[in-house]
Amino acid sequence: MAPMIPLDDQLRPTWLFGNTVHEGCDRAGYYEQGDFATSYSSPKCIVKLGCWGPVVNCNVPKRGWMAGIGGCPNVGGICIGCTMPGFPDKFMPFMDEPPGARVSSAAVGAYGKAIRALRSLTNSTVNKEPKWRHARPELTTGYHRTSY
Amino acid sequence: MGTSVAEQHQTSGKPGQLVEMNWDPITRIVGSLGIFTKIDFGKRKVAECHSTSSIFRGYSIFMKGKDPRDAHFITSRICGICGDNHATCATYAQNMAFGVKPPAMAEWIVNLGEAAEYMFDHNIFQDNLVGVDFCEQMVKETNPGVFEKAEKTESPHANLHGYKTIADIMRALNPFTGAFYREALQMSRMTREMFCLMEGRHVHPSTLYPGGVGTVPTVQLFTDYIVRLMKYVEFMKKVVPLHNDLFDFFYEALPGYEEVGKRRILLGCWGSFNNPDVCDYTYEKMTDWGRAMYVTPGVVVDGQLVTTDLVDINLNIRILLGSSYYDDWQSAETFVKKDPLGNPVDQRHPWNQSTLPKPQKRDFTGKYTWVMSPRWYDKRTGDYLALDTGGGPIARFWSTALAGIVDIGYIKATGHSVKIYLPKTVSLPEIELEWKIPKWSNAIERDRARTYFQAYAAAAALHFAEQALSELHAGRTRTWNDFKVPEEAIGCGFHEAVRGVLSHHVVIKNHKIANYHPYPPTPWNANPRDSFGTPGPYEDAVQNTPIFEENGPENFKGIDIMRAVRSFDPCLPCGVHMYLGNGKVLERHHSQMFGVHAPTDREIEIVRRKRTGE
Repeated sequence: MAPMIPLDDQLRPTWLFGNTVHEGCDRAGYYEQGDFATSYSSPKCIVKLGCWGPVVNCNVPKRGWMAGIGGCPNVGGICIGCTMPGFPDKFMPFMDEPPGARVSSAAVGAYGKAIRALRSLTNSTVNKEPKWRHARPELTTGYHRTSY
Repeated sequence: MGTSVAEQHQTSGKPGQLVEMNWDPITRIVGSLGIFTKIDFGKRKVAECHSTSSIFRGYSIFMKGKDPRDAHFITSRICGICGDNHATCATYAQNMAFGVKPPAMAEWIVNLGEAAEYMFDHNIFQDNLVGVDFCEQMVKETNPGVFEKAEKTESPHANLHGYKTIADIMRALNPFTGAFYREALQMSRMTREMFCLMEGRHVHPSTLYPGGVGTVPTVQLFTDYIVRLMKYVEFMKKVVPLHNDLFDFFYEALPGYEEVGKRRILLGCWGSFNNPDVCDYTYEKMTDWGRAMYVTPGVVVDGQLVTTDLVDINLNIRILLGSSYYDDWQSAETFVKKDPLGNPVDQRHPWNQSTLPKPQKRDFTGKYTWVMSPRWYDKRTGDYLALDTGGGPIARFWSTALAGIVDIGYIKATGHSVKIYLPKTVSLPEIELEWKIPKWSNAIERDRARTYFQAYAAAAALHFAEQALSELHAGRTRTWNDFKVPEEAIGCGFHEAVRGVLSHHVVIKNHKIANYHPYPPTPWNANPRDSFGTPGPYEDAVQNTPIFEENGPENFKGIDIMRAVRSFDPCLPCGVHMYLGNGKVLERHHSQMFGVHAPTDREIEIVRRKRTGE
């Protein structure tokens, strides 16, 4: 028989249960920037709308549901923790913000606001080409002709 | 499958050879289904049939006291192949109870998802499961004469599907090795991808909510869906004529085959695919938005369309007992005395049902199953009709055809048929298909309707995709509207699960679920004799089914009975217990799927030794 694949302490395959939903979610960047959705329609982080991703072991957002397509929070569906032994009791009511999320989203909120402002500055800088690139007749690239 | 030769029974004067044959379990989803029959080999027909289910799950009990917003997540888990139908139906009931109407974009996304579900499920059931009952290996084992005829019969539409003879079609249906069997498997994967695009995951959608969806609509999303849809549309141009050739051959090769699985035309369809221009999810306007659905709801009795009014349909649902393991609830709480329009609601209506399970020993002359007996009260005659769904498609088509309302270019209901227009695809021109109302409600016609419905769902999806894109181009990309859970409310959702009628009835008190009763198609089809003695649909369809199989009791497969039962689509067939006479239970997986041989005794012994470490 082939050797057993790596299992965690609950005898679950680590390739499926080793990481949390949050660690694989496309929208995690919004979380890091404290940018949270207030409507289920929004493409931003849905942790305040009931997503349990940060504490659920599952790799669906990373690999999609099939062939890279779909998933849960990465495509707008709150994670309800369905892979966990505590499901469903410890996750209901599903559409309420998880208790821990209130704390963590508040904490990251302040940092996030500041960081978004700073990033927006840098972003607008790098969205412009270097100063020497212009259509004016004088050459400001630092090139000096030496042929004559 | 078990056999035991019973004593002589006086069924009709002839001292016939009445043999007890049981298939238990037949399915592995939505409870377990056991079909217990007595077969008269002398008269070559099924004399008696009882349909039983030995699993109780209790959704109606544990949903009480839960947050109503959780209902669709929880009820989705009722079924592992059609869970999304439940989730969708639950959101319909929630929308009504909470008083919220989703934006149009959300409705189109849900419709696209449900269309993908029908395309997926019917495809995999029809061609990877039902098809096995008609494949070369099966037909050779049960009706060798028919197979010989198939070798010599040319397929009338070989130019469309490429299989020269009917026997070629049968060979292509062989499990695991048949070309068409394999192609269907690939297509079913692709249709699941279509569903995942719209609802995140299959079968339990993640992006569905009361009030709308969380899916982000973009041009890319719909393009990815449409690219796959067009492949399916092309596939259907071949699949429909292939099945017509196969089924028409059976009528021809086995005259009288229309009697297999035949029962009185008593069909129920609760409608599918809401139209956001009309549907506001209020009970008060349900009659109108029900009629605007892209599959028209209706009750068909003896070929006549009795109603298309969802309010009428709702009020006349009755849950009867008689052969089920429950206590009656006549003296229990009445949750809903009048519906929002002021009509009185019966105590036997799902809103007022209290589920009081009473486990007991099975007794075929008394109580023998966990399934209750849903019936539809016909005001005209006072009868409690044992409606069936015929597996879903046949009832949907029959109702939609007779109603003559649906007309979206790709689909047109004519009053006696339904026309389906499939546009030009990569290598095939446009084509018009027409499902005509058949003469009988029998096994073959149920199966035929299933293939046609795959095309119907594809055609409907083309329309939904166009609508969704025009909403997108108009900038109306919002997919969810906010709501508040009221302190007290009632709601009902009507939908078509893949296999037929699906309703969810909810009563909310103190912001929590006070009563919840989902009624999927299985209880409507698989129920037992009710308190009036009316048998359930599986029971009366199988009873009086003639036996065409050429085998005697010793190697009897019961293929005609299996075709009859499977035409109702009782979910996926799987392993079965064999019961041999003298009380010896042999666990041998007699799978109706060939290709992978059942383990030999030597193989079983080898595995046993390995497991015990010998």
